[in-house]
Amino acid sequence: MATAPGFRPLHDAHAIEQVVASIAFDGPLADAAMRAATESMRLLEHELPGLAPINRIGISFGPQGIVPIAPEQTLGLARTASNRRGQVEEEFRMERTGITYRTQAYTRWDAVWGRLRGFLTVVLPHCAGVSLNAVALAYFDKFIWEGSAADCRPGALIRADSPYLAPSSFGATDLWHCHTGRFVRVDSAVKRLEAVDLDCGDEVLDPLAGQQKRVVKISTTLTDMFNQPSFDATNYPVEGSLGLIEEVMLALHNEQKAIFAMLVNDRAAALVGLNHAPASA
Amino acid sequence: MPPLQPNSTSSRYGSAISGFAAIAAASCFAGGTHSSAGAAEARFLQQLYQYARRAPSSTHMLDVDANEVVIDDQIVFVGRETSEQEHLIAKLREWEWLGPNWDGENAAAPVTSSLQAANQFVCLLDRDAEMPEPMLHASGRAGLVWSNDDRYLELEFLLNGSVAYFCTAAVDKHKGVVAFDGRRLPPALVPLIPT
Repeated sequence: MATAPGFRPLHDAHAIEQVVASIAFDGPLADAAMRAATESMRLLEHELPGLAPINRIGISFGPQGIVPIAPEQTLGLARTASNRRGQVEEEFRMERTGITYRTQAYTRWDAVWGRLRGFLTVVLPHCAGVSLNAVALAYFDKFIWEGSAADCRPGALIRADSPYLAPSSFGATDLWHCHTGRFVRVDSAVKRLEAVDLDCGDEVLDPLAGQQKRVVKISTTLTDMFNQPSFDATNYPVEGSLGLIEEVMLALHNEQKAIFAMLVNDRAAALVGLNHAPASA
Repeated sequence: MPPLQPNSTSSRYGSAISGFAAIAAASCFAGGTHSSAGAAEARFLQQLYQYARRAPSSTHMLDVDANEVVIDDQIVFVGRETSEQEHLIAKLREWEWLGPNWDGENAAAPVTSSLQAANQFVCLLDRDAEMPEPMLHASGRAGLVWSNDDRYLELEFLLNGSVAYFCTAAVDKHKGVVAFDGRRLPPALVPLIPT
């Protein structure tokens, strides 16, 4: 049976290609704290069996040509989990200046945060001597156009009155993109950067078939920053900030959902279950 | 080159977390798809290279985006496949849009709360577990069925937030009604659900 032209979410039930959560410190961890934090990551071996040091790669250009520079020091440690295809689906990175978690295996927020919370519970107590500088959450969504590229219009996915798409882009008949960003005063101590990027492009989704399809990628990144000029000073030692991080992450997640609801039309929202109970959102 | 570079670092990771995420993305791809061994991965890479060889002037390179590579000026998505669980959730969601008489035999319209409960239930299953078949009863209520050589398990999502179940395994039979809050699998059902 022929399918009517329209956008479908990347993973049928949702469009989330990946989620990235980051915690930034106000300075680098001292050697002892860094060592303790990375050593504690042994406890994550069962859930994240992959292990890789994070090194800086340097290249020198000169009369001898291109010469790699040996890394001066290990910047951190990453633990990973791969799928049956061998792709890394989940990664937890401990670096001197922050922690990053990313996953492609999104099911629901409770599950994603539950895993990240477990990892943070292990490493945060070792992050002595630094304070919380920022907490960020980014979602990368992808919708695939099923139909002729010539018929693809932004309005098939994006809300006509969405504040996140410029009117000139909304009328596009070919490829288009629209990037927006702004700072929001959350309260007297928190400055939030809200960045919403929309890109319409062509991609080969099945290397065997080799056929390009039109896709729209949506990235929404929210970053709550502390100790910003003209904001109240704060001092949240990272080692004792799990509760605060949980609170901020949940607020960012809820705000992400609110932005997404203002971005996509009712059909797309229903396809990804945006209006369902939080457990399946 | 394509008219747009939608997967460029600036658009995908050009935010306050770029320092973390861009590096994470790059190393994730390099470490994941290229260093791990395994037959499935080998097949996948072979498919990619077959694709790359089709054009004589082909060049390919890694992009900082974890799930995309550029081959012969085309962006190729190399992210994970959609899981059976995700297909199942989408199917249940699709049924919410059906009206009465969806079966041509005067069935009641699908009950949204029942479908959503079934959806929540599926969300709570282990991603790698055996997935059930979805069912829609003439009453409009949703169900899930596992049927294999070892057991038959049928669930029906009732309107009061509970789940009726019937299970046969070898000579054993179980049936009953249990509460389901949408946040955790009912403990009584956990041992009955195929893994």
